[in-house]
Amino acid sequence: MNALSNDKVGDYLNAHFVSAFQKVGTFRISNGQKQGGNVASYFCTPDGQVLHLLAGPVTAEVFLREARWVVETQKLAALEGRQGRADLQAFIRHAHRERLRHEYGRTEQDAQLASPGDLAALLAGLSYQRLPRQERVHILLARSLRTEMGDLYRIVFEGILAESVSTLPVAEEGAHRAGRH
Amino acid sequence: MTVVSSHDNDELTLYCPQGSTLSVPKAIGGQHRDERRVQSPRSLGPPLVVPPIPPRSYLRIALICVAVLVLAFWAQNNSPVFREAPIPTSCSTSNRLGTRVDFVSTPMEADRQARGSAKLTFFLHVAGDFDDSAFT
Repeated sequence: MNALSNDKVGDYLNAHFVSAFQKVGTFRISNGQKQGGNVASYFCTPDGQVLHLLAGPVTAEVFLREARWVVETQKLAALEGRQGRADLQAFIRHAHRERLRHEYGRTEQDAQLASPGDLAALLAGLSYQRLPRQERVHILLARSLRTEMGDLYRIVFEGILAESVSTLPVAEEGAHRAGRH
Repeated sequence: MTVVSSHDNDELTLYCPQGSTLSVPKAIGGQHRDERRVQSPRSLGPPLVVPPIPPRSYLRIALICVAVLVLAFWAQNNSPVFREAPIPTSCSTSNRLGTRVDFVSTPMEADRQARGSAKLTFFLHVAGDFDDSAFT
């Protein structure tokens, strides 16, 4: 992900976040060409609550803007004393609704809260599949009853990025044909 | 095998290879000045004659012992096993994996460090092996 090679992005992430990576999917190398594979970036609290996420690769400028939005929104929540788990979750939902309304002209109400499973089914619908990825991300985070990483990552990787969660290693088709293992 | 010395009730017996001789320092205890006779049990026949040790052999043994002690002392003070590894205070560039971001080893470690430093966490979910650029 090229954005992570940017100096400003690196400095900002290192100053405000502790970072880790995890393999959740795989891809295929066929005749030296990469087929499939993608990336998702999650901004979370230390207890695993997802505040925001980026589905797919983005530019350094977009990445920095989104990372700053997370930090400033979380600081605003702290300023208002919304630091308890439920309070913070409600505050973050509201922030995503604001962005949906401001950037995509979509209105999402509190009454439309749904379980991650229901949201996965909803986002798989054809009308939602046509929406930009980040709009679907904001819908997910504005309406999900639960926002733990474990509840969302499969919806993001499979439902939004159209990849498969997999424990398989990277498959090299050319290597097998050449007799290498 | 030759039985050099044996107590009557066979509690203390010293066995030596066939044809070998046993040297015992004079100061330790023979009655004779130049040689010591080791009494063998009655059943084994006449006592063996132990030849004297030349004085220069004592000096050689002492020098070898001193050398061994010096080497042991040197090895103990220079062995890497006894050195404490430095505790890293921050992530090194080797944890950046070709980016400008410091990555810790696991998400659990990221959570732990974030709690301790009042930071948030950032997780990258990838397809492939992020720590190998050929497989990311």
